[in-house]
Amino acid sequence: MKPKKILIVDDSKVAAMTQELILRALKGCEVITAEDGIKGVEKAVAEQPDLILMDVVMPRMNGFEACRLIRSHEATGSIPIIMVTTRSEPAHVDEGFASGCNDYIFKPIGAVELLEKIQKLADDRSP
Amino acid sequence: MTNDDGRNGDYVLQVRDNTHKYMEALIQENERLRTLVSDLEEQRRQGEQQLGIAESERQKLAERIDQIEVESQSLLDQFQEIEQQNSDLASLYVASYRLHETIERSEVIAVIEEIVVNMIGSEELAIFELDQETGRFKLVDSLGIDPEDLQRVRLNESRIDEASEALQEVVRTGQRYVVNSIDGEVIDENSGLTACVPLVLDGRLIGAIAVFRLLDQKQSRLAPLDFELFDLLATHAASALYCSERVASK
Repeated sequence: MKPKKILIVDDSKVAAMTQELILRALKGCEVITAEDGIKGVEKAVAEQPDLILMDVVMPRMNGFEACRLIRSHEATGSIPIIMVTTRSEPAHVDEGFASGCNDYIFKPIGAVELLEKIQKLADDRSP
Repeated sequence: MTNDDGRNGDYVLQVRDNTHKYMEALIQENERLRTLVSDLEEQRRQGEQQLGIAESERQKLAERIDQIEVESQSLLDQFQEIEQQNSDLASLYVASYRLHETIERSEVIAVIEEIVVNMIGSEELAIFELDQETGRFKLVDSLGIDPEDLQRVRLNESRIDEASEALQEVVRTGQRYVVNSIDGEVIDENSGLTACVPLVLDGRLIGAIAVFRLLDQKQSRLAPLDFELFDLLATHAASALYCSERVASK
C-alpha cells in the first residue's frame, strides 16, 4: 500500500521542494513539510503521516534526535523514517539506524532511488 | 474298415476341424491384434505429432514470455529514465524558482549554496564577484573552505592555486571550467577543485562559483544534471546576485 501522507523534514527549501516534486509521482499522496527537527516531531504527532523523510543536519534539533523522539511517542513510534542526508560516513549511518530510522538515502537525491525505497518500505509493511 | 477305424477317423476329422477353427480364430485374433497395433501405432504417431505441436507451442510461448520480459524490462528502463528526467527537470525548476524567489542578497547566496550542496553534491564552495574596476575577484561567501585561504586566491597554495587558475581560465574563456573530466563525467579524485562556473549577465562576466570536493556518494562523478545546473547557475545565479546587489546598494 502506497503512503497517503508523507512528512518532509528539511531546513533546505531547495531540498524539500525537490523531494516534494519527486513525490508527485505517488498520485494522491499528500505532502507536508517541516523546517527543523522540533517542528518535524510536532507535525509527526499532529499529522500522523505514513512516512517521514528526515534530513539530519538541521537547526534547533537534528534528524537523529527528532527520529528518537518520534520513535518514543506511542502514536508515532511505528511510522517509517528515511534519513535523507549529505552525510554518508559509516559512523553517521550507524548513528542514524541507532536512532531508529528504517532506511537511508543520500543527497543529491535520485528520484528512482527515493521512489524505490518508499515502495520497498510500503511492501515490507503490507500485511 | 472297423468301427474303431471309423471312430478314429471321425475324431481326427473333428480335431482337424477344431484345429482349423482354432487357427481361423487365431488368424482373426492376430488380424484384430494387428489392427489394434496399427491403430495404437497411429495413435502414438498422432500423439507424437500433437506432442511435437505442443512442444513447438511451448517453445513459442517460452520465446514470447522472453520477449515480453525484455519488453517489460525495456519499459521499466524507459519509465525510470523518464522518472529521472522528470526529477532533473524538477531540480532545474526548483533551482531557478528559488534563485528568483528573493531579492535579499543573503538569501540568494544561501540558495546558491543549497543548490550546490543538495543538487550538485558538494559541501565545499566559494562564490566570487568580479570587481569590474580592478578586474579582481572578490570573495562573497564560502562554505566548507577557510575564507582566509580564498582571500589569497592568487597565491600559489595547493588547491587555492588550482582555484585561482580556474578563475583565470573562466575570465579568459567565459566558459565553465571542469577539472580533469573524462567524457565530461569522471573527475580526478585527487583534485581539490571540481568546477568553476562563470556568472555571466548580458554576456559580461560578473563573478564565479568554485565548487571543490564532491560528496563521497558522488563517487567523483558529475552527472548530466550537474552540467545543466552549472549552466543554470551561470545565468540565473548571476542575475539573482546582480539584482540583489542593486537592491542592496539602493
